[in-house]
Amino acid sequence: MAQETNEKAAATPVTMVTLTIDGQSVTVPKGKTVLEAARSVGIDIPTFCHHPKLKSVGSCRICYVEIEKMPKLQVSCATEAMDGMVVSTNSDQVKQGRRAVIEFILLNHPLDCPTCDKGGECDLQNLTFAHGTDDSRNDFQKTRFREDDMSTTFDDKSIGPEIVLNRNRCILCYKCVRSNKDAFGEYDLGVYERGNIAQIDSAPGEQVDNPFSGNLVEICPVGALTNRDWRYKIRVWLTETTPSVDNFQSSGSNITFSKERQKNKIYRVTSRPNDDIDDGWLPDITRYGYQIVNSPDRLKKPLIKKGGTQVEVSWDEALDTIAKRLANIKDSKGSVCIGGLAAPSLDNRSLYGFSKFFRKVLHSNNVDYRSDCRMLPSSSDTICSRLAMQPFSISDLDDSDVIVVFGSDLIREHHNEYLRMRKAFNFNGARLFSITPYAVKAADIAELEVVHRPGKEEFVLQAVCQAAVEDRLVDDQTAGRFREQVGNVDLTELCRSAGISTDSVKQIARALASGKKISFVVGEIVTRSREREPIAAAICNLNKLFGLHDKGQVAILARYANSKGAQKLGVVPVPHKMLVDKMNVLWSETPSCEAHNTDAMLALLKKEEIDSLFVLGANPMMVYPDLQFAREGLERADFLVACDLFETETTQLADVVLPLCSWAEYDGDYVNLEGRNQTARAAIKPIGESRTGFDIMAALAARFEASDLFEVDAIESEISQMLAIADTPALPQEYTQVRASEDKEKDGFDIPLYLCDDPHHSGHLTEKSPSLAEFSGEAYAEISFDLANRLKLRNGESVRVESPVGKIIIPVKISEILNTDVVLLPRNFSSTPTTALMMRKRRVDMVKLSKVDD
Amino acid sequence: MSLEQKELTLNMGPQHPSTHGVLRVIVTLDGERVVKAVPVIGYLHTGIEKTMESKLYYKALPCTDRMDYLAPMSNNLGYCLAVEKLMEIEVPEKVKWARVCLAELTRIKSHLVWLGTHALDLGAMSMLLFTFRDREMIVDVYEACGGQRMMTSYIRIGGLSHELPPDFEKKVRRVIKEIPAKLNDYEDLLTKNEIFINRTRNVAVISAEDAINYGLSGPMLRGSGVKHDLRKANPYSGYENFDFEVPVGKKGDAYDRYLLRLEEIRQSLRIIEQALDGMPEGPYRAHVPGVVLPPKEDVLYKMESLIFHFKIITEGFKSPKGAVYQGIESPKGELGFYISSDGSNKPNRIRVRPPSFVNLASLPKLTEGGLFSDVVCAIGSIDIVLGEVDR
Amino acid sequence: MNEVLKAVGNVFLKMPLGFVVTLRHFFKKPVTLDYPYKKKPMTPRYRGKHYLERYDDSTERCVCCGLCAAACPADAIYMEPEENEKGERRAKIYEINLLRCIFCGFCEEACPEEAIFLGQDYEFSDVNRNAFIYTKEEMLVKHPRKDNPFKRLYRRVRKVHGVTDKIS
Repeated sequence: MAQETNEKAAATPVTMVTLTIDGQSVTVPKGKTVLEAARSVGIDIPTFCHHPKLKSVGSCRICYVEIEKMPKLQVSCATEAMDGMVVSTNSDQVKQGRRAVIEFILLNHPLDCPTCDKGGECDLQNLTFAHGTDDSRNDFQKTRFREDDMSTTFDDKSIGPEIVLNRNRCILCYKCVRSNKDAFGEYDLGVYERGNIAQIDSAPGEQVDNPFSGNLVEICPVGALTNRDWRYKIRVWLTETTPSVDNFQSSGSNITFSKERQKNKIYRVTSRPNDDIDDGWLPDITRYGYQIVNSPDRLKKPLIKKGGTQVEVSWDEALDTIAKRLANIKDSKGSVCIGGLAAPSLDNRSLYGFSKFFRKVLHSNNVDYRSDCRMLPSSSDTICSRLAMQPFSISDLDDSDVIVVFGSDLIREHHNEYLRMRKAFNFNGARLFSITPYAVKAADIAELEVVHRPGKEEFVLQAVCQAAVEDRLVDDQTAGRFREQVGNVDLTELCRSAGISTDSVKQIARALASGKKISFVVGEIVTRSREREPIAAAICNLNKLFGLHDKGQVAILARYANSKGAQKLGVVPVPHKMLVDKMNVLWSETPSCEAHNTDAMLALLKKEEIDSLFVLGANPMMVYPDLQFAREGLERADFLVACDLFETETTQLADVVLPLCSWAEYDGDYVNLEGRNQTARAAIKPIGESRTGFDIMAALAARFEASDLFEVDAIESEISQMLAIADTPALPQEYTQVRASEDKEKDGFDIPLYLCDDPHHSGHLTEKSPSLAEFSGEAYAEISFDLANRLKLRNGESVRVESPVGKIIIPVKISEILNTDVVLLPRNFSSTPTTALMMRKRRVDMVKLSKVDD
Repeated sequence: MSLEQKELTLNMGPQHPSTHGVLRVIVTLDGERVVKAVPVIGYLHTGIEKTMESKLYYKALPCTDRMDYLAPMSNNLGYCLAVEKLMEIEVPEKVKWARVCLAELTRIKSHLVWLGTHALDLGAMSMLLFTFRDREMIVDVYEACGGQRMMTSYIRIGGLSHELPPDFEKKVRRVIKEIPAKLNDYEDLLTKNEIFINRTRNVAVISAEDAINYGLSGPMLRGSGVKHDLRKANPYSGYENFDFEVPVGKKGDAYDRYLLRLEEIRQSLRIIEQALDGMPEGPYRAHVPGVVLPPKEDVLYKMESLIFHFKIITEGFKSPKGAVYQGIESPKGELGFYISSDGSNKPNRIRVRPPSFVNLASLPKLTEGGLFSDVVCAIGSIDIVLGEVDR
Repeated sequence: MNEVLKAVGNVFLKMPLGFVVTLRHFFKKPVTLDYPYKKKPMTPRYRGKHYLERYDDSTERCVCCGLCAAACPADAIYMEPEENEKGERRAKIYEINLLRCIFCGFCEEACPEEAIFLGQDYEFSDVNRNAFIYTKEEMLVKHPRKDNPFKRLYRRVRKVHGVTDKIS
């Protein structure tokens, strides 16, 4: 029924209603509430429980308005705007109503303002100040929520690693519970009891530790939910704010830093709602990840390896050494013997400076930003890279009616897109399909979750195509061409080898064929797979067959804060032709020597054909999916320079270590996964003597007498010219034969291993954030309940994970989501080098598990 | 044979005991006669106006104490009346009466200090000891009220900082009882004192017309015979309810101003007595939610009061857009506060019209053609406080 | 001759009269004080050196809410809160710079916990500027001043939940 009305609404043009609010005529689409109508013309109505991204409940009743011909005051957040309504938001009756509501809310509110961290930015304070009186008529004992074993007089209760709950202060607006359920799909917080003792609490025996829990604190209108990050640190009126952009995620959530200038310290991150990107929700990585900026472990001075140990030196000495050694290698062996790896989370200027320094100053083409992918192709114009350049819009997920998530565990990779998908499902009734090699969290609202056999991605896609053709879901001409160019494959055979049922494939095919607006989202499992090209080809076939591109969007999502920027600025060995053309124009020349990507660089380092590697912010030792290979390469490097915020596995091997600024310390532009160029402002001064990536490149260039190439204004204009290049390469127009190879060796290793990010971590830096470490502080092997049962493992017990190349012992975590034999390892913890188990030539790494007997 | 005649330029101050602070006067002399005496100010400039503009309204109050530090309550009163006018706050009757009482005590206190220092300048050492002894009674009243003997900050926006102390009436009655006798003593010592008369009679004369043209106010203006007093001309804080005379001088010389100030003390005592007798019962601060702090007891027990207290302390109150001017009759003349507001919680511009500053401008006129030694008398009879002149 | 006699008469008759005035003061109570040995008792509202009060069970009253620092016109107060072992909010650092302080008493007026008071002590001088940074340890009284006749207007126990246990 609901779907029917939805469809009807979509079909008929939106009807408008006109009403009068405070003498002002307002026209809004039908279905909007009086509150929304009033706010659309700038009339402010106070609210506690209203949240623009959630459904109205009308529980706080502060948003009273007087509507003519209605006998009583109405709550404007739950009253639909009607034609001809005459609304008054400021009459005496309304004022009296508000005053009464505030008095009622404050009945049981404790006198906690002095101890409450919300003080100064509290909605309850503000609205009482604006609409209440300064005297109370009530002088009686207030209800107090208190555990029996509490020794404190503060009645605070810890309900999660970060969140502290004070039920006395709660005004029961239910915003936390509603957002937790409707927006994040988590059920670890609820309302218990009724009436006077109704209270918010964590679900019995559970902790509120979902990856979005920080938002609950931010939207709490009072200080009932506070987080340890901000708790008892500083008063809000002593801080200043700086607008910035998230650096841990590719969508670039808009954030605000609260900082204290004198102490040069950031105190917290809050959202800066941008409906195109984040809807005002921030994942915990973003909210607490900033803590790395003020970490005491930050590198503060350059280090040079002297006699086997790294000693602190001045910047001049470090830069002189680097310049001398690089010049030496360049002169004696040729510039092809120098390579560079940059982190895709650096800003445009740093990345561009990096690329320009290598190409223009050193005349080397060996630059790359992809340090976590195995077996990269040497060419850059591949189907996969074309797919990665396709336009994608986060907000388009909202009104897509079919969303297919292919090869991505969204909650670990793309938090904002994960929330958008839930929003599309909860508010717009979108149909979701998830196709992954292991069960994922995002699938709990999926119409259909397809878990295929690991390493069989292209089979699933082929099967969907085949099913569409067989079931005549596409027109005969298209089907004919498909048959002609791809040939007929047996659907059952395909499904059998992929380990899925034909019914599910047919269901997906039907949805894709009937969908009006389709978002086909491709994730990391594809980009990091060895067989990314055949899979991409299969996706293109699917796209062609269903015309997905015309009905919505198909894209491989960029993974890091500035992956897209790195792509567009050509920080790859062989950039697209249009980028090279532009570089030729801007720099008058580009080097023509051989170009090597990360894989090739590491291999050549091992063969001692490349002598020097310059690593800017990246940490291949932690993320490259073959630790053995990476280590051999880096250890044999004649001269290794590493720039990072912290001491990492890579900087430990380096001959020269340079301290790098974090993104909060300088103005930088970042291109998010939609191609949106956003600016993060400097919140604090650089910590210690750290410098930005661009400053390092410019200082080195000056030592090569090329400082004129690195003038900031010129660089900025070059960057904007590079970014302005329209680079949406066309997807192949013909169907292609998909031929993927599979691993031959089995060697008795039977459980597929997937390396992923912990939902509370991203990359190699967030480990240094104490709050994130509270959520998840050490590596674990996530396995299904069945597998754990078979191995007789309980949660937290140690398990031995063995692969042909390595072995680690790690605590086990029994997942509620996984349902197949697969093991997930996080790659965020330096104490447990999980990449040591991987082999770069494998498509799917296989391991065997055994219980560790004490 | 004739001697060479040459004008002599002499620098007096800024560290000179008889310039009442750090006033510097550049005196051009022709023998003993003053050709020109130009006051140079700014040695005590502390940027009080700008400091006040950077603070919330209620936090700017202690700055006013530090302008005319001999009459802090008058400054408090002027500022508070200006802000109350801006915020359209009506204070309770009792507050008005108490404020009048305190303002008049301040006038007595200020005049006593003036008398002591002025007489000291002219050679009467014991006057200083006597007046400072008697001033102590009033300082004690200050201390009992606000807790501080000089920087009182007692009069607040919307009322007073505390209730009047329990022994307030007793202490003030003592002032009323004892001061008249003391005044007689002073008169015995000075009024018919030949030396004093010689030093002040026909010295530092300014005509009524000049006084008006120079914009003088207070005893400087009334000494020349102009009967202008803001308490009568433009009553504030309930002065219209009091019965008192505005004394005026005849000649406009230093002696007249001396007599006038003594008479003002007597009139002030009359006002104080009326204020004490007629002091109504009532709260000591207005109940204006969001502007005036709720009573401390409520803050400790009532949630609403706590919230209002918290918000006023941290954010202050927002003033309506506009500008106000409020002048009061301070001991030294018309003290005016001009506040322009842009609607925020801090004043956009505060300009103080300090009586000392304006009165000091008449120094060249007062001393012109007089003897050099009379410059001291002229400065003394203007009654300046450099803290107010320079702000 | 007459004038000479008159002058002599003046000396012998009027001078003793003058001395009588002086003599009278011999028997009057002096207005001055024998200062370092005797001190002037200050009025109850006197605003002298600050102290931090405790509850009757001798826990600190101050919760480091920051209102005193917010109210301070001279920005003389610096404070940093922390969580104590019970999970309560307490001041880790509470410093008053007495060289900046103007003793206006706004902190006392702002304090919603009745923790900070300006006491009766008006003697502070030192040879070292750092000694004027008055720390929490120096300010915190050893025992709750139950007998404090001065500022205690309302006594009560900690009021977290707005209990009205007034102790008059």
